[in-house]
Amino acid sequence: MKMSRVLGMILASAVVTSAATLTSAAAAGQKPAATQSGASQLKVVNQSVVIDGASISLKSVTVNQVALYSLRDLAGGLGASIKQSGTELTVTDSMGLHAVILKAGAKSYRVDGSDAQFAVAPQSVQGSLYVEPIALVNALGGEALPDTGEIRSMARLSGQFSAPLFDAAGNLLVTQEDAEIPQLIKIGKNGQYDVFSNNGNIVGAALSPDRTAAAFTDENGALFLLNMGNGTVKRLGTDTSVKTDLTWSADGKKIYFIQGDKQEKIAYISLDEAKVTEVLADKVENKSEVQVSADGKKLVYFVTATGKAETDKEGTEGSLTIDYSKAGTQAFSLEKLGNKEAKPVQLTKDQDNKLYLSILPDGSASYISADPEGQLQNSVLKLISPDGTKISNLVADVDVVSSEVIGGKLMILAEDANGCHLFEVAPAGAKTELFGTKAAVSEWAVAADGTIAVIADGKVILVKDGKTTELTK
Amino acid sequence: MNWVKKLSLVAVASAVLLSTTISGSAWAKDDLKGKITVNGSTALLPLTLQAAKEFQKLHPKVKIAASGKGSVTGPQAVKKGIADIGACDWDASMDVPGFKAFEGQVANKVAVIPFATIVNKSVNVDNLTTEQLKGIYAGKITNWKEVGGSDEDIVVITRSFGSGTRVNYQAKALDGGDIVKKAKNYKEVGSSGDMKTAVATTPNSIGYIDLTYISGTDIKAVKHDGVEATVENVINGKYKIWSYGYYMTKGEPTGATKAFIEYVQSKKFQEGSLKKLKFIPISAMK
Repeated sequence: MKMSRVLGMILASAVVTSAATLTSAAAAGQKPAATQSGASQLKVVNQSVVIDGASISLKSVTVNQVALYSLRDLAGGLGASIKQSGTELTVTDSMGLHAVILKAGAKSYRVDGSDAQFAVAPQSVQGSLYVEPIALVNALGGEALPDTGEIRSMARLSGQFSAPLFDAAGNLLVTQEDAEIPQLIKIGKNGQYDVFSNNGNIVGAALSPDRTAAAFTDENGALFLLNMGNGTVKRLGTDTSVKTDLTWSADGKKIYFIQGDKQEKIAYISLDEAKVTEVLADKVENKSEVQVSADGKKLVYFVTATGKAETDKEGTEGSLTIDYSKAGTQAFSLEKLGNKEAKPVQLTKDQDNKLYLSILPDGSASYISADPEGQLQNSVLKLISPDGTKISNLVADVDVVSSEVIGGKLMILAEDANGCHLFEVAPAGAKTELFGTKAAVSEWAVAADGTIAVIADGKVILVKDGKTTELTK
Repeated sequence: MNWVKKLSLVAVASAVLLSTTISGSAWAKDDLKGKITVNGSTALLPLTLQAAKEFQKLHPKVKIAASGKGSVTGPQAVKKGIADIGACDWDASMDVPGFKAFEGQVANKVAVIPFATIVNKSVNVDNLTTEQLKGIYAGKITNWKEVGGSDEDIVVITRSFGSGTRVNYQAKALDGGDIVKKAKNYKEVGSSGDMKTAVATTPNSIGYIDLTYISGTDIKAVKHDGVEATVENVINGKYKIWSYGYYMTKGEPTGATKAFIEYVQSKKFQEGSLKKLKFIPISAMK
C-alpha cells in the first residue's frame, strides 16, 4: 500500500477557553486603517489563542475594532516561516504549500501568486508587524473557527465520512465516502491526519480484538490483513472463494467468515498457517453475521430464507406464484465447535427483521428486532439465553438502531424523542448513557480508553472527556 | 458550513452530564417503512440478499423478501403485481430474442454480470471459439475430440427457457445460435446453483454460468475465442459474454422500493459488497 504523506494538523480536542475570538475586518465593519503615525500609538496587548490545540499568547493591537495579531507570533504558532526581501515579507506555511507576500501599510497582498486584499492594512507597531489573523490563516491553508476562537494550521477535512474505528494507539480511522475512490483517513490523537490507504477494499474491514490489524477481502475473494500501525497489507492464504461477514476470534488467532457464492458455509482461517477450515457446510444458503463466543466453542449466525417462486413445467406467466410467507431472517447457533456431531439449532422463529447479531460473554446472544408491520414503534434489543431456550426484551423503551459488543460490553445506539443516544447495556438490561445528541448519528465507535467517535450528517465527531470536537466539516 | 445553526449535544460520562455542540442538520427519526418483494434472476439473488441486509440496517422497519426462479419470472412477477422488483439479466423493457418487451416496466441497472463457459474437470479443453460453441449447443459437435479434447461424448447442460443467463449466453457466446434439445447427453437446469452442481458432478459436461459461481476444483472456466473470462477482460472490452443486471419496476420506482434500488446503485454498495460478491460495478463499464 502506498502511504501518503502527512497532510496536516487539526485540533483533536475542543477547547473552551477565554481565548480571544478572531474577528474578520469585514465583520467588524471597520473604518479606514490607522495611519502609520497613529499606529505608533496603538496599545499592544497579549491575547490567548488556541492554535492546533495548544494555548499560546499572541501580541495584538486593535485598529478600528479589528484585532490585528503579531505576524511573527502568529507565524510561530502556525509553524510558518517568514522571509524578508526589501519591504516585502513572504510567509510560507509549514508544508510549503502556500505563500503569502505582504507589506506593511499595504492592503494588497498576494496568495500563491494571486492578488488579494486585506480590509485593514498590516500595521507596524514598535518594530513588529500586525496583520489580520483570519485572512492570513486562511491564506496559509488553515482555518479559524469563529465560534471558538481556535486556529487550525491546516483546515479540517471536508466531505462525507463513514465507518469509524479506533486502532490500538487510539488513532481514529474513517472512510471518506465522497472521494473519487473511498479513502481511509487516519486521524491521530493530536489531530494529525493522513490518507492512510486508497484501497477501497478496506472499507468495512474487520478489526482484530487488539486493534492492531484489520481483515478484508478484495473483488477476487482473496483475504488480506492490514497492519493498523504502518498500513502495510499482507495477503492471508490463497483461497479465493467469496467471503463475507468477517469476524475475529477473541484470541485474535482466527478469522471466521461466511463462505461461498451462495453464502452457504461458515469457515475460518488461522493466522499462523493461513489455512481455511470449514466449520459448517450444511447446504443452508444465505448465512450472515457469524459471531464466535469468547471461548471459541459457540457460533451464532443468521440465515435468510428466500421466498418460493413456482411455475408450471412450461414456465408460463399465468402459472407463476410466489410464496413469501416464510421469507425472513432467523438466528441459529452451533455449539461444540470442532465436534463432528455438532448441529445447528434454530433460535428464533418470528418474522420480524433481525439485525446486529452479537454474542455476549456469558454465551447469550443479542439482536435487534424491528417490526416491519409497523405495530411496534420501537425496534427492540432482544436477548437469547445461553441455552437458546428463552428470548426476552433486553431494551425496549427506546428505538434501538444498532448494537455491538466492544471489549465484552454491550453497547447500543438508540433513538427517542430527544435524539440519539449511545448506551452501555448491563446484562440485566440497565442502560448507562455514554452520550446523547440531537444530531443525526449514523455510526459510532468506541476506543479502548472510552473515547467515542460518531458520524453525524457525514461529519466525524469526537467525544472525549466530555468534550466534543468536529474533526471534519 | 453554517456556524450559526447548531444543535446541542449532551455527553454523559460516568454519570456526569456534559454538554457541547455539533453543527449540522437535526436528527430525524427514520420513518421509511414497507415491504419490498424481489423475484427473478438467481444470478442476482446473492446481490439482492446482501443489499437487503445492509439496507435494513439503515431502514430497520423495511421488510425485504427475495426469491429466485430465473430472469423472465422477474418482469412477469412485476407485471402480475406479485413482486415489486423483477431481477432480470436483460433489459426486459425491450424485445430480446425469445421474449417480448414488458410494456410499462422500467429497467434499473444494478450490476454487470460476466458469464463464462464451464466444463467438468475431466475435460482437457481450455479454449472454445464461438463457432465451436455454436456447434456444440446446436448438437453438431458431439465429441470432445472434435474440438481438441479426448474421445469422449460431450454432455450439454443448459439453463431452462426463461433464464437470463441463457438469453445472454445465446446472444453473446453463441452469437445468436440455437440451443437444440437432444435425446441424450443433454440436461436442463433451473438455477445457477444447479448448473454448477450439474457440471461439477457430470464427467465430460459443458455448461455456462455467471462468473460469481465459479469456484472449487470440480469445474473450470474455458477461454472464449482465446480470451479468459475475467473481470478485467470484461472491463477492458476484450471479453464479450456479459450483461447488465436489472431491477425491473412497474413504472418509476417509488417509496421504499426506490430507496432500495438507489442503495444498490450507490457508490458505497457498488464499490463495496457488490465487488466482493464478484459482480462488476455498473460504473466500471463507462
